[in-house]
Amino acid sequence: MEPAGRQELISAHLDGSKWTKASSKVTVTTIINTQCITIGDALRDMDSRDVISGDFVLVAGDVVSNLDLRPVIAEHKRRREADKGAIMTSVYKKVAPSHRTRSLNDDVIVGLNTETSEVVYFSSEVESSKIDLDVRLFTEVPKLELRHDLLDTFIDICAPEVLMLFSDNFDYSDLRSDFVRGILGAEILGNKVFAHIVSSHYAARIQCLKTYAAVSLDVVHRWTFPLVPDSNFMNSSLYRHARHNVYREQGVTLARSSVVGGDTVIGRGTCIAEGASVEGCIIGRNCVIGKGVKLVGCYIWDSVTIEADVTVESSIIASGAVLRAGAVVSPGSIVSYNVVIGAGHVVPPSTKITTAAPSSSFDDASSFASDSGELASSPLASSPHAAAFLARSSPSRASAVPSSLHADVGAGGVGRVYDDPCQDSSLVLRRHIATVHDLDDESDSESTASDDSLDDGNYDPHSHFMREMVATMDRGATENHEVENVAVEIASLKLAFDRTVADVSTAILVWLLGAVDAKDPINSTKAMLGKWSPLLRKFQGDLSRDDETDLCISFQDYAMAHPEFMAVSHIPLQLLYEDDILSRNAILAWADLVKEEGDDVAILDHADRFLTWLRENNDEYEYDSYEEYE
Amino acid sequence: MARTTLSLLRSVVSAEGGKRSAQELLECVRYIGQRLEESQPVEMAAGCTVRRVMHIIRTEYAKAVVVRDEELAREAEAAAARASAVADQSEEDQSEGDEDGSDRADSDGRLSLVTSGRMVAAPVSPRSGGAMTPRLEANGGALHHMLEGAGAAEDATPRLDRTDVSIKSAVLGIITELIDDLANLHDQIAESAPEFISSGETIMTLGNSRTVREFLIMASEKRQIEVIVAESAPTLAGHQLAAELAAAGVSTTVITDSAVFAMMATVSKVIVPAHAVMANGGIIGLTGCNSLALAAKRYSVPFVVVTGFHKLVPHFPHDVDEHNMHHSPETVLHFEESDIVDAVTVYNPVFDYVPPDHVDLFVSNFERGVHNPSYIYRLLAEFYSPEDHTLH
Repeated sequence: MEPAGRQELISAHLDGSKWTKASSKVTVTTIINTQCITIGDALRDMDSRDVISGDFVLVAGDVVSNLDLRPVIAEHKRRREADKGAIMTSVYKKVAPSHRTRSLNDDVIVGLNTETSEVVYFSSEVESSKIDLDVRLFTEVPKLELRHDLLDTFIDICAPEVLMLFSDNFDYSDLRSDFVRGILGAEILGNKVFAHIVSSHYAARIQCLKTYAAVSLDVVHRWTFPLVPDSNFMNSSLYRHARHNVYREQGVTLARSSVVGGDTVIGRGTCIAEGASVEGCIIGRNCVIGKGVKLVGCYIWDSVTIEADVTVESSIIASGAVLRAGAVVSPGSIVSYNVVIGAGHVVPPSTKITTAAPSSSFDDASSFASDSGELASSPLASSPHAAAFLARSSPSRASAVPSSLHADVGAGGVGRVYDDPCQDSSLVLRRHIATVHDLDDESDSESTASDDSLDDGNYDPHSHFMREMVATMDRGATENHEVENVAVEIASLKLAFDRTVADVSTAILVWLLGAVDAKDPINSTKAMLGKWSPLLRKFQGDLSRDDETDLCISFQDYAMAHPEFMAVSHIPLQLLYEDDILSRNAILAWADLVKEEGDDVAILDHADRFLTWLRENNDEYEYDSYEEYE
Repeated sequence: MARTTLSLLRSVVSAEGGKRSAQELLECVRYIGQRLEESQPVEMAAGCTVRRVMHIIRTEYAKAVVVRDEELAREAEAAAARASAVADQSEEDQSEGDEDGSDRADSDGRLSLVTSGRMVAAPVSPRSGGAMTPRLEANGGALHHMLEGAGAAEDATPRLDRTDVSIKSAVLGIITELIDDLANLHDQIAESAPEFISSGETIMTLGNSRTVREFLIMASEKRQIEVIVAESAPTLAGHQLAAELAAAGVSTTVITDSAVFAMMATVSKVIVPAHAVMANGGIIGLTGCNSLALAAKRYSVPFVVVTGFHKLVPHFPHDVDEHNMHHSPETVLHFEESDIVDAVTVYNPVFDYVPPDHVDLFVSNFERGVHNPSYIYRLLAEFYSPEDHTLH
């Protein structure tokens, strides 16, 4: 599940941990598969390797828990003996919906049979204001509870049948939205999922920056006891706990007048100078905190240098970064590895600063994915195809932008704002902005601050769907799948995410445009359309004209985001028209809409000749080829 | 904890004791102690058990050296009597040199180099002249060192590098004895219960420790007593204790922790368990212990600590936080209550420090079983060598 390079880190971590020592009571086997994009892929891989024969525990890699699984496993086995169909027991923790540790990502509604705790309804749709319940639920289940106070811990006790089901249903990608719903939808097979609800132990998943902050605070507040820093259970640390939840490792130097406030963790070798104040911060090892520095609610990783009179609030400063004297980092920011912020520079709120060169978007994506601690949960960063797509989409910008921008990081700084090309285009219909850059941004833009307004973009089934679409199309392209097969996969994705055909068309279109080569737009577009236009047409049959206009708008959004594409944008537009994918009326309606809005008319300039031609040829005048028109 | 540590050390000594010198063994045990103490600073029993074993190694070594020197002296005398003293003595030295050589091959390079370096001086054995000194040290010398301080410092860190003595079996024997002692600890302490409790007494306690429970049950078999148990929130271990006492036929009352002061007027003795006994005679007890002690002080009720002295720690409680531990707030406040969890910080400390002037008596299985807090420092000298007080 991990992008290249990271699996070595994980292997190295495991090799160095106590679990792999000779004295360890467990055997650790690391299986690396770089081809997996989803949990479904990984489970299918496990099935094909045939390494699991009995019941097993499936845990997401980002779960923090002190749960004793023995009673859960015993309960699972008891149920299995009575009913072979009880193939999975999911662990949920009772937590109020407004709780800080609940990620907005899995705002689930679970329907339970009160007497057997069988899961009879599952919904993770948070957007809609209503849910659909089958009346049969009420007639068939004697006592039904619908619960919204459960946190999905992603700890599951599974029977081997789970693997088989994943292999049988090759389109299952997610454990919840595909698998659980699949089981609920196919009662006839007799498979059942049960829930185990814990209230006295801790279990939570770090899915985004919000939960990263919340779980960190929970650890500092000792909810995860005995998994707290002063337990030193990794055998590589020497933390001590003191009043007000201050954890200090051996070898921390605190100046006499420095103030260390509550809820703070400070690692070995870190030195805090006179007059500095630190509160609610987690500070790694070998950091230097200068005189008069003020840190509130920060996550400062290893070997960070913070010079005198710097102020940092609610931000992440990654390893090796340097903040020069007097700099200010405003709440919600991420300063990536080895970035240098110049003296006195003020980083505005919710800014991401990286040293990665703008050309290699993949590095950005992966470095930010790791910044935000969502390695496993971001299929974007883990898909080499998506990465190639990212890199492909912005080749010309690379040469234009210098690697460090002084406006971004101040004089003497190193790094630049991790800019999202889509962010500055002011478009009417944001919903269809479907470039992968934007998806990446959305998953990263949550803030460490507890400010609710910053958390809005936390999870969007739409962006999740878009990622899945990109992955599916990439797979189809590189493995040269039949268009029909890809269509089946897409159809199942559409059902799984409950999307409209317009959404699907948009996703396919954007993906297609990503493959257009700006240097040779005609042939590359033709090649892509040649293969994939049947796919587009398949889904496009039900489109209304408004939908088609929306499609044009996504086309425009894409062009706005990619300046090099803009110059040749009229060519794909025309080819789409030629292929009957965009109708004349839709294109003209869109052109009018853009004119009305008045902004971003640049795209119309490029397509001017084509549009004029469209308007003039009211009758269905056939022209044979693009070359003639030129 | 103490028992597991002892078993661990027993297996270490039986594996390593045969082939290593006493000094190496000591370092080996010290290293284990460091690791144990670093990983769990509040579990002081482990570190103390290690110190105890180190002390045993030192004393056993000293004893063995005396015995060995006597043997050497006897052999030398016999040899002299045979009028070929000089030649024999050199052979003796020769054979010792060989022994050293084989030792070096066994143990790892670095340590044996140190050992053999010292060996040059050791066989000449200046100590054999004052053969009685080590014996004195073994019995009461440690206290002597403590009082002498720096003056005795050179003697205080003698190296245990004679390879011609074997202490393995002796040390193993004593460790096994200690393990047995721990197993019988509760019975032994309980046996003495009727001596401390007279009929008609009302006793207050808290928590749920096996030592105190068996002590009270034994007392109630011989005497008519009444027990008041503070519930010891948030673990509510007191409820458990009350249930078990009641099941054993003891007349039992449960009160909330906040009612301790109100009920103290009717109490004739407070009996509590200890997590650790500090060098100054204070104790680390269950949280709430100190309020119990203060209430007892106010009403002049005797405050008795019932404990085994394997919990004796040779440290002074300079920083009470360092010896405390905080559990999950879950037992105080449920995590699912989102509004409160965000708004407040919950502390759930497990231990409490009771200073020595609030403790009236220690009851244990050691010696006559009764000690004053002011006597604790003397016990330290019996149990530990001062050079082992810090393991680093």
